[in-house]
Amino acid sequence: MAGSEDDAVLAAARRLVVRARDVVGCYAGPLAPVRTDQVNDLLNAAECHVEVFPFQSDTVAMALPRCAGVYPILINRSAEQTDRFFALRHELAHVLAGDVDGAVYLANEGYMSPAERVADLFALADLVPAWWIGQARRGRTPWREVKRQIALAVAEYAESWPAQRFGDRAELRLRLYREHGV
Amino acid sequence: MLSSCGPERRHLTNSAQALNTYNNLHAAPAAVNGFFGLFSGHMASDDRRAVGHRIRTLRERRGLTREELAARVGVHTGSIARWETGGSVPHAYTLERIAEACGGSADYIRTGRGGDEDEANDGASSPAGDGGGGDMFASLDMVARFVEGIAPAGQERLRKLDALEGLRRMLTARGTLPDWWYELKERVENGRL
Repeated sequence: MAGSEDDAVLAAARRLVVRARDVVGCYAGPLAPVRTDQVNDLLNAAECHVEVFPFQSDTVAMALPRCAGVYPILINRSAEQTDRFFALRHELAHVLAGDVDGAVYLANEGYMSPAERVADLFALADLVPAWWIGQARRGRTPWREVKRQIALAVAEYAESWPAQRFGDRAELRLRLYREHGV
Repeated sequence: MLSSCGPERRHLTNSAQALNTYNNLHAAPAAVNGFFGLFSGHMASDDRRAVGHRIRTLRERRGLTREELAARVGVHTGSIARWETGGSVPHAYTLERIAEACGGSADYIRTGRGGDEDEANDGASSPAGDGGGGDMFASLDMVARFVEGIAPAGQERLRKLDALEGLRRMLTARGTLPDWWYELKERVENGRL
């Protein structure tokens, strides 16, 4: 059961990456991570409106249901820069996937739901890109060591994550590379 | 807005803390995956979302909040939210209780057939990538339900205020601020929402 769930998450994340590439061809590509203006292009294409301001709560970001013809994505200016980079892509994935049916938080609650796993993986596909994983693999480095390197890279965006979420995403990121070439 | 983030850089540096965390994490994910597998691993995510949408539709037509439905079914409010957003699907027994509380049939919730001809006309939004959906903020009641979905009345006040502040900024940037925004702000600040 868990295996098929993981397979579905990987396939869904790959589909979202392919859709993103329709707009920004190099998303999660050889020049990844994409530039801020390219992320902006993706957000515009998905009819998102981004507001960056200091939150009163400790939430990093949230995507809201469609309002006035756009999907509001709210980013906490007080969050770490790496968290904001991740949050933009994560919330964009929720909009692309059609998940936004209420507030979607970048918080630890519900982090093992398929929708959250897909959104995280979509973000990590660009932020921990395949070319970098390929370099880690160069010289037939054992997969165990490659996985450790990926975990270290994911950790840059996962400082506040529960260990369970961190380990799951590092594992999925490796599988997305090995099984889907992303 | 995004330009405020500055140039994007990659941070692939070593971190002893991260490595320690990584080395200590491997037992639990299987258990969590097992949980999802038990209840929904055989159901595609689109199907789960469809089931969730039907639960929400029935609940809202019955005029119930998530908290009220959770109390009637005997589960946590978060479970209702997870089912409605397609994170998982309830067990068959629980589904019967949801149907009973909402005045619908479990078969309808499971399959979408039999017993609810109005679904096609209920204005449900479709994913953005499929051509855009309806506006969830068309009325005060709809927005109030959304804010209520963040947490029950009086809870998670700061998050609700953050969401409202984001809406205020967005709506102001795109035109005018509707009257419902002020009403919602007042309700949240007074713990009535």
